[in-house]
Amino acid sequence: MTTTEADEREFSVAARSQSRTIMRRFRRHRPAMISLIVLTLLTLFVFLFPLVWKWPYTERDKSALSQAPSWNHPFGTDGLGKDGLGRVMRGTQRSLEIAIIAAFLVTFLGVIIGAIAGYFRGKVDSVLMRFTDLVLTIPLLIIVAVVSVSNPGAPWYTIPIILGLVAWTTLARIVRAEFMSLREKEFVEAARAVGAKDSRIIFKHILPNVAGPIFVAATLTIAGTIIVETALSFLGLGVRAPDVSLGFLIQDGLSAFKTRPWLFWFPAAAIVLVCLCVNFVGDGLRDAFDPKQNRIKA
Amino acid sequence: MALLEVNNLNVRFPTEDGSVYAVRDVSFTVDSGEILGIVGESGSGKSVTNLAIMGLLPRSTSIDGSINYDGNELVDLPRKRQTVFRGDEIGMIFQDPMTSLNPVYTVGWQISEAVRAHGKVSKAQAAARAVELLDLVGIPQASERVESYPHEFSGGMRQRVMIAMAMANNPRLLIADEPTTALDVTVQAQILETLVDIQKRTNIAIILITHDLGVVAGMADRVMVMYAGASVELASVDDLFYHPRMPYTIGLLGAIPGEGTEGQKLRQISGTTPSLINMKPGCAFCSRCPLVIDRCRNETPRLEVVTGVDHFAACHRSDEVEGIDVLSMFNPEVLS
Amino acid sequence: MFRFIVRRLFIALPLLLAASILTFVLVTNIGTPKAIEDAQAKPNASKAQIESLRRQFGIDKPPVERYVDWFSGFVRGDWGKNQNGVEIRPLMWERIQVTLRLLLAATIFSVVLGVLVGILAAVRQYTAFDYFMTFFAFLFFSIPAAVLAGFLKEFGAIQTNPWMREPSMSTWLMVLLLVFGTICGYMVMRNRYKYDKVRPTNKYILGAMVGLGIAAGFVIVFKIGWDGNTYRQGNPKNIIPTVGQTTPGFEGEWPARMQDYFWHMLLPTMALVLIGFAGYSRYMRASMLDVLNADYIRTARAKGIKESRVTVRHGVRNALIPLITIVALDFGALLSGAIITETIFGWAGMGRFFTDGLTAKDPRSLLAFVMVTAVFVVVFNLIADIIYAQLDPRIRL
Repeated sequence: MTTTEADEREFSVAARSQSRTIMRRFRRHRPAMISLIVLTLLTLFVFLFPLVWKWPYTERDKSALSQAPSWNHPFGTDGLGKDGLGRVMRGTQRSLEIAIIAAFLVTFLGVIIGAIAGYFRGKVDSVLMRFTDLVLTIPLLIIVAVVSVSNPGAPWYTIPIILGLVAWTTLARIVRAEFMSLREKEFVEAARAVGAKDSRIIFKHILPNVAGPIFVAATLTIAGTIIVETALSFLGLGVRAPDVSLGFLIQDGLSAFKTRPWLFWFPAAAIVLVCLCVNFVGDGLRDAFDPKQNRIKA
Repeated sequence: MALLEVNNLNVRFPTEDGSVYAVRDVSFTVDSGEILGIVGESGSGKSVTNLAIMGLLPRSTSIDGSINYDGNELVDLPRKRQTVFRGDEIGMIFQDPMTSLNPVYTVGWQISEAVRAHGKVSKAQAAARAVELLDLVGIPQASERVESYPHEFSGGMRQRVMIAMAMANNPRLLIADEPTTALDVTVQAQILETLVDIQKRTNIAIILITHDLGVVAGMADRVMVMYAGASVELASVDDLFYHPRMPYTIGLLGAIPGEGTEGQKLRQISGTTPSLINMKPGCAFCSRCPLVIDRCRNETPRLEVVTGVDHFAACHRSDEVEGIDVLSMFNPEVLS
Repeated sequence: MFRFIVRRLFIALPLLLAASILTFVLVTNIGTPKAIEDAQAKPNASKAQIESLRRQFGIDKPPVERYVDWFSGFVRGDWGKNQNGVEIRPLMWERIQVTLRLLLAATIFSVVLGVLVGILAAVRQYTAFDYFMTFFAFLFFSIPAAVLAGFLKEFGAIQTNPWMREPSMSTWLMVLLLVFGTICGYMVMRNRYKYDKVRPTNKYILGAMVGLGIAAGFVIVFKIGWDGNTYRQGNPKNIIPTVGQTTPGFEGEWPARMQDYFWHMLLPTMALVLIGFAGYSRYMRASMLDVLNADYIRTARAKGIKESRVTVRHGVRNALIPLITIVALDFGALLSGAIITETIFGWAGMGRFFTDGLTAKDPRSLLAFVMVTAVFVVVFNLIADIIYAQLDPRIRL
């Protein structure tokens, strides 16, 4: 029995690391892949194109007030002559920045709180869960709205910070549930038997196994933040002039909708496009991390 | 005529990586009142074969061949007609009793459901039958326990409930798919005893699927060995254990630690089972077989009668096997 | 059960107390009420004036005293007066009723729709229907409430009202509908028999005919019924309103008032339902898929039960359980959506109450608003837990 024949016939077990399996599964999810590409291109565009575009978002073109889309101003202009394309690009930048900061904060807090509550259980868990319940009693939008009103002159990054400070609850619950079930598994017992410290067990052993839901939640938070920011701006509490965000532009556009619909449609399309892509990527991640995925049509 | 006749059964699953040939040209029969044991490793196709008999495979599965139950052809039967047999003539119990029962309904409700699915029976009658059945499988205080939920039973008890449910309509064939694998050894013995008891009382035919040769030795009349989706040996239980004719079976039997082997290294069959995707022609075992010859690699052996005995083996050299000490040819030192 | 409720109340009350403190801290931080700011900005602002205003708003006292004053009043039912001197409690009661209508309708429809679509999508996983619904769900997930409500207002009412007055169906539309019906019928049949070894072409044709027939029926009914509709003759008003929750000064019999409610509620509810149903359908689909892969489903099939019964009695029954919790916990998000939608459609509900309070920076109305919301959240959580325990016997109360 020669080895080559044996190899041919036997199960070719190419050592595929888990992350590569996940990436492979993600690549198979077509909407997610398309969305990822679109998103990347979009992000590059809104961050790089303004460097060469002739109309910065604050400049007023007095010769073209309230103009419908044209070659000079592909997204039209508003009442003060500000270029639509420039504003939408800047707005997208801002909204993305806000969303990513919020997502980071939410992930950080959610994971820490959830991990500690789920791993140590007992009193620590009780206290943390009561605290979570408390934060949950007041709806997100309302808390952020009230805090926004209190700080009218605050810079734009306070919005994601406040959001991050109150939006971690769902993720914390998920992480806690995962930790509570994983900590009973044998590999944790084994790690402890070798003398590993709690922090090591949490970070190097259990946490990687929870990576899936965490990534998914982080991605979905990005989309969710953009939507909440829109609602905030709608109430007049989001990003303030002269800075723009997509929500701000929507709010602006809604009031001018009858006469200058382009001021509404372009930012609306931008929001929907970004959120749609982010959501699809999130769905792709969810499928990629789920080991029970079987694409056999039943 | 046999109660169940399976001929040239082929089951193929379409997957992203290609077609998985889970069951390849399998044939066997089961007579009324007989216990047939089917043994094989995980992935050998033993479960899939029986799911095919029950019609429980996904719709995208491609099934070819013949499954004949009491004169009725089950392959390609419209799904609506399948329910005439499933749960009524043929019952099935599964491996993991912890998850095989619906957690939100009482045990009595679930058994009654099985009864009422196959005949116009009133709720009261079905409930009475449920108590009767629980009694049959040896659950104490059946009339009270019938109102309990599955999570209020232990694993062994739940498996008994499963058996009761499968027996609800007096089937003539019971398929038990690894019924004891998930249970403790002592409970295993109880469950098997229950099955034997039922068999004696109702003369039901049983297909017992397991990877545990000991279970088979104790209970079965005849045994079929499966490997890589194909049936490789089929004989009476004594004949199989004392005169195996297929190198794989010999390897399996030799791997059991037993008397006289203390202090020796455990024997194993080196290598691993082949992938079931896009299989090549030839014997699936040839890469691991100590008796392999060129013919094995090119021509798939069919399950054929070994000259002179009532014993089927799928091996080109099955006639010669008796004379060779195949066991020692499985080198115990080699670890793959 | 009773003990369970008592135990939960035991936890809920301290929680509400803590929530009241948190609320108080948040609200008192918003700074000076607008009325006072305006007064201060005036050139001839007198100290006495400002002082009396501060007393009126109750911000002349130190924080702890203010809290105690407010809280003790709150639990007794005295919620004070808002920035315009109107009694808060009766005002909020009025507003709540309006919003509750919207919330109730939105919840019912979005849950029913979401559950149905989720079940169908799961049972028909990977079919065109599934992909279609998935795309729609994601789409509505990605539209902010403000955008959707604005969009509906524009295209649901402002553009369609003229059409509603003179309904007609152009030939193009008719043809489109007929073709659509035919294609749908064909696809449904194709999907049912897609795994059969022999393609039953006659069944496909049957499906196409049925689809065509249904579409044709729809067109005919429309032509006969709508075109000569007397409702719109002599009713020059806009049928679908865009402002307010009722027609102002509407007097009339109960059926007419219900109709009035209905038309006014149509668009705002649609906005909330579209977004809500998107989430619920995805969730239900995922839950159904999880359940359908469970062992007990295989057991149920092995018993020889009809597939439809397996799906409903065994599948849906189990898949619904986690959904209940989601629906109940979603109250906060739903309320936020309602606030936006109410503002766009000019409803005088909780949304306006909140935005008015924010603009005026009136501590008392904001405190009342947030506390009421918190109470609702806690109550709904309790209800969710009770329902969950009823549905899942593994949970012991």
